[in-house]
Amino acid sequence: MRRPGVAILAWAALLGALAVVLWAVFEEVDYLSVLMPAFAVAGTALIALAGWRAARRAGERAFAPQAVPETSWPAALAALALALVLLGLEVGTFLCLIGAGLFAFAVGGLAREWRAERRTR
Amino acid sequence: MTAVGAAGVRPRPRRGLLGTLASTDHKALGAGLFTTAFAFFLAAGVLALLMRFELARPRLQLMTLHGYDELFTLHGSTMFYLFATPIALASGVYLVPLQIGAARLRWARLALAGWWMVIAGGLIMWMGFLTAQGAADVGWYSYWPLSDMPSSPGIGTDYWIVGVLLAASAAILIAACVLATIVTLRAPGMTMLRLPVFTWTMVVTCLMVLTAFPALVVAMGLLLAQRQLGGVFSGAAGAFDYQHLFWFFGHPVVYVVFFPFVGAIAEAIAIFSGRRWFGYRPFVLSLLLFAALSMSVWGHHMFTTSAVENRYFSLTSTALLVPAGIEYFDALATMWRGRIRFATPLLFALGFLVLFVIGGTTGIFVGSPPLDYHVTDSYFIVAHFHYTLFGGSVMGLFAAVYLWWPKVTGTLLSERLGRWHFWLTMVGMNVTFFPLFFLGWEGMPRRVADYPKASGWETLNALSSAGSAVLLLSLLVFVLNVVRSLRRRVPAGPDPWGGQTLEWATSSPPPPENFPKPLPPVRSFAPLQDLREAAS
Repeated sequence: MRRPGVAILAWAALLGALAVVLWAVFEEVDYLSVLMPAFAVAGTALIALAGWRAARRAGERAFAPQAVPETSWPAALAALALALVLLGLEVGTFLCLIGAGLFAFAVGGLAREWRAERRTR
Repeated sequence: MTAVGAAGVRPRPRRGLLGTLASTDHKALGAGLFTTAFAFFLAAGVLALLMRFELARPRLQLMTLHGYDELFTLHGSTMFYLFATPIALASGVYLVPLQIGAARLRWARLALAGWWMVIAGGLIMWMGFLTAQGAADVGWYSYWPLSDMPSSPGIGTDYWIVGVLLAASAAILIAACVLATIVTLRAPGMTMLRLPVFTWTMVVTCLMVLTAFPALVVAMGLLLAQRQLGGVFSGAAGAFDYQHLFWFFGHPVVYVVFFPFVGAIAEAIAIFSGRRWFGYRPFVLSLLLFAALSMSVWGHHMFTTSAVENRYFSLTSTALLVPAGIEYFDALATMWRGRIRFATPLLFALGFLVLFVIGGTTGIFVGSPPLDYHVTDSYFIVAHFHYTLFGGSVMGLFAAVYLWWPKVTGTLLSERLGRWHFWLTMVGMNVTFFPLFFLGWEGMPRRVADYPKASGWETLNALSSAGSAVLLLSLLVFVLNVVRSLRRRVPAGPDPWGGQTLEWATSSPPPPENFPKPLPPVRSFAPLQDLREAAS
């Protein structure tokens, strides 16, 4: 439990145990009652694995000074562009296209930020 | 581009509003998301007041039947998707890096995108009011087939679905950032079993968001496809499938908006009792069990459909008593023989404990299928979940606000106004929601704009509406307190309460790099309390 991967895995085990009770003990179980807990258990196990690897890799590096941008307009723009694309599904294709264009523009901005970050390392 | 880290230093930036709107500093992000969510809380509160004033007397006074449907839909949706979930996560975005001794939030750009998705989602959802057929009118869960085109043809419902999709996706992104921060950026010495209590509640909150909210995204995606193209859901099986998908998210979300404030009241109780939190390890285990059980009770929302295994879901719903009992016991044992200071954060924490007992025990009541059959879709259910959500989450939220306001702003709130705020909230909350238990028991259905004069429900409805006016007054006192604090700027100092966790070891408000000086050694979940005890 001291490590994040173990703590998360413990939660996955609890979820799994409760799902097994549902599947094994009771008879009338529909397919979504099987699929959704299974998805949650598998998803949590994946998070635990990712957490275990990330924590191992982070190690000392976590506290080394790191270059980060103070602001990131491309990140905000990407979110708004996504909203426009979704809204465009209702309002019209033109809005989807505008949203997609803005999203591409935002991704370009994010790529520039990442390059600048890497240069300062 | 600046260097941030344990050794990183930079001058305090003067961001301005525009800079704040795109800031990747977790403090600006957390405060921005918190403010956005609180604005949505006020907006949804206005809708609630309109509904209560409509219900104060029989017959229609203020609105049409359809208008009332729009109000309860947008009230519930705004409270869950745009206020409670974002504000719970915003608390984590602001406080978790400070509590674990980190200089920043992991993947801050994702969290920034999440904040903007909440804003966009909220605006799109509310844009429905501007359309010809009005906003969505299908309830916060939009059951299919009632939410399909023939029953709800307005574009407002489509806007609502897009808004929910954006808000749910935003929650997933922000939760991923907070969890990644906890996993990878903890200070040296801070193992998982030395995480502060509030941070532990954020761990389980984020896990629940990451595993439950995808079901909502799927449900909304399918519903949008059904409305546009058809052929996704059909017949009774389609209706049950939709309900399964929705409630697999819909029950855990109650705990997503509850756990962070359990953490907040735990911190407040420990600080204002002058003792460290009692039973830390059982508390952590109970949180994990609580979260796992709450992911396994979704079917109790479908007891009356006969489409779920009632015995299983009744069992898991009742079992929630066990971890809840452990947490209550921990809270009482922490206060036992403590040097209790009845400051405003502790008052709200105690209010939380009292009101959540009512919400929790009535939850066990409706977790029993025979009793649920009697009160399903009645005002009893409305009273029950308002005792858990308002009595639990909102009281916990105010405990958190009063506790951490000095840290966030560097200024103190007025204790006198805080006490007025607390007592008005307690009175308003109980007068508004307690009569609803009786109305529900007597058979008054929820989601109705009118009721017969002969029903005898007028007095209790009028009482409940009067209570909502008291709640409005309590909120005005809070706003007055905030404005007064920001104008007078009485300095709080780094640690006005005698805090126990790392955020109290830095200045108020914290500098951009969070901890310009070396951190105190972390040997337990309350490192500042360790120092205090070692010194005495």
